[in-house]
Amino acid sequence: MATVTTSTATLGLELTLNSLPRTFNTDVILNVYRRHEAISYRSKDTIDAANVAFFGSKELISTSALHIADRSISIVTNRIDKLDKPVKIEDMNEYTVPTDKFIVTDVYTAEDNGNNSEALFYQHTISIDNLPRVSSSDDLTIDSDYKLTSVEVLDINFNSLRLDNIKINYEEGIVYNNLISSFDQENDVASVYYIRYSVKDNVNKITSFVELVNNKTIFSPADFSDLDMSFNIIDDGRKVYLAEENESELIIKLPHIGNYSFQLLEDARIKIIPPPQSDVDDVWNLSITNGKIFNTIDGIGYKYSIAEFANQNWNPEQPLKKATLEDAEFISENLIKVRKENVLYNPTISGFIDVLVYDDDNSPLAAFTTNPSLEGEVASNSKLYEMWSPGDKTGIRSVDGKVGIVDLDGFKLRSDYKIKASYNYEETNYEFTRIDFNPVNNPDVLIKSVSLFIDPDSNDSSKLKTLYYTVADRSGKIVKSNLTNFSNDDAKIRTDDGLWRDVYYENVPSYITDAIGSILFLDQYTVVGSGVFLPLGDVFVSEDSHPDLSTIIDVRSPGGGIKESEMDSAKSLQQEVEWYWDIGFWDGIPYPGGASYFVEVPISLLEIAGGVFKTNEIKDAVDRHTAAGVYAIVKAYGIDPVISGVIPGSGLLTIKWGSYT
Amino acid sequence: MSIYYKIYIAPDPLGPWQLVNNEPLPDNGSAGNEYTIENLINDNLYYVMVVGGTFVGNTFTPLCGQPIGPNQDSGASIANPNIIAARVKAVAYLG
Repeated sequence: MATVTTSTATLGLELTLNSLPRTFNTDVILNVYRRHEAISYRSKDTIDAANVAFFGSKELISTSALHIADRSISIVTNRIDKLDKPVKIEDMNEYTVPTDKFIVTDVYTAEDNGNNSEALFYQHTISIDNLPRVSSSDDLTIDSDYKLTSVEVLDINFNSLRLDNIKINYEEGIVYNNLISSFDQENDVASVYYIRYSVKDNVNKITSFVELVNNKTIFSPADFSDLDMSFNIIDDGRKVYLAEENESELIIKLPHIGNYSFQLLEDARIKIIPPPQSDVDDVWNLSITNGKIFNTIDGIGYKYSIAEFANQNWNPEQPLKKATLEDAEFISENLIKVRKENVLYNPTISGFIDVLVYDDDNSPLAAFTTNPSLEGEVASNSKLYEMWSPGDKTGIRSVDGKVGIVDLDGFKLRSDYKIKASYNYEETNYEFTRIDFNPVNNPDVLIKSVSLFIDPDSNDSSKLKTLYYTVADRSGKIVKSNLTNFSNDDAKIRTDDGLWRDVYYENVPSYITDAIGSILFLDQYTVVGSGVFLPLGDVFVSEDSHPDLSTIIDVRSPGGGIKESEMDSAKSLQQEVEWYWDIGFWDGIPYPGGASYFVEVPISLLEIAGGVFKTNEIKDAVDRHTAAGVYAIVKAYGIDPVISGVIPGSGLLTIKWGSYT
Repeated sequence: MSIYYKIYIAPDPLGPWQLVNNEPLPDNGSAGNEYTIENLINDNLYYVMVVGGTFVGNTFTPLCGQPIGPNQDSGASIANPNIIAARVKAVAYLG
């Protein structure tokens, strides 16, 4: 039962109910015959509106609805491709790079460092719990009671891989490699590497372990403890480097003269990164890779970086952030992928990970942690935290912190389980939170394009804010920006000549005829034209599903209807009520297109002419034998006087006709 | 059954048709029927129609071209083909 009121929403072409008066009651209104080509909501339902159907399509998720046109390669030094090969330098201890996103190594697959030798940039350090070291400090020399006897690399199915490009340090339990696991969530494709190794203890007992490859770069930036009094790197075998910045480049200083290989990282490019796959319940925030790149324009050196990077919600301190009970993705029976990369997994600096598992009904199933102080404690899902150990192999066995993959042991995950993870991670990006690109939260983004760009520092500036955005409407005219010389009230930019002008992002569409005096943003302000701003990209949000792929599910059931006593009143107020199939016709009102015919019957059949039938009896008899929808016009014949003569006279006519009898 | 007649006249076949004899004319039997319409304008063309029907009490019910069915105009006798057009005191056109 529903009352149709003036506030009832317009439900679609068939169901324009909003002109019925408030006093008109109907018994409801759930029985409209489905016309799937037309049912769609044009506005939100009000509380007293009837939900008659919904229009379904693929779930709206960020990875399919958010489109980024990358412009970040507008300057040469930001064109870093992951396919670029490493650069090898020989007999040097200094090298210049155009960005701070690089990796460097002096470890090669072969000792001779020859041309056939591959540079290895990452190292996996075998668990100190399973392979004890002589000390808890940075010295990784294996405890003399233990010996590392074998090491092999496994794939995601625990099959052994024969790889040439790894190198094993059996004294310190280090595996040098270039293995990077990955998980393509959209296509559900995972490439995961494990290390399997055997450890012999002092009673010659051999134990085998498996753990995810958890790579770190071989070289890391030096801190003060790595420097001597002259601020030179202490050359005792430590693998660190110093980065010195001048006005147009970074100079990398290494511990000693030798052979090194440099590899620029793909994420060195300052660019826009879409949010992790998110649905409409999440906030869709873009990120921009943090980094520094240098570029010289007209003899002036500029530094492009995200000054705002340092101003984020760090926890506990830069560059760490805390992820709390975030959804994690199922990869396999023992693997999950947390949303972030660069997960802090290091018990010595409180790098712990907690994982809570629920079934598809949200019933808690398990709680796992790597934090010894939480073991046995009650987790927020009411289960007791379990922690993996060689004696009790249930819990988090290993973690690939770089990629964000967690390996569970003693518990089989299912794809319909809900998994929550809490952890710290190293933030490498700046999260752009000024605009939520989730079109459900923020419908304004739907017909706009948002462009991000960087205002660089030159040699004599040190800006606190370098990241800006513009919002352009459908015509490309910029209507909003956080640029200081842009007026959001007037949607105009103040140019160097002091005038306020319309500004179009890339070009003026041909149908705009009043663009005189307007300027083009890319031409005027960015490195694409004569400016120095680095455009990062343009972001659009739109549904990318074809209508044919849409599903319409009709949730209404037949029944109800307008009260019979109110029917005439309803029809007179609004003829559209006949569109209800149980009131009107199944699929519209049939109109006979010219389907009528003429029937003549003898007048002598009628009572009035001596016959036995009334006129309505004749009509009914004719209708009974007439096809549905065809209209019969019936007339009687028989007493038709036939004029037999006419005699005109002056001012008169005399007519003659025969007798009926 | 006794048949009576009403005579109508109009300047155009589409009307308006004007009743000439308020009192229906009884059928005259085998001798045939005749009626003279007076007070017409010389040289004008008139259309003349004779409608047969019953006359009971004061009710005349036309029987020629009798429409059968609800909501139909009993004046459908306009469609009666037995209409004659005549020019007064001049030329008569027989239909």
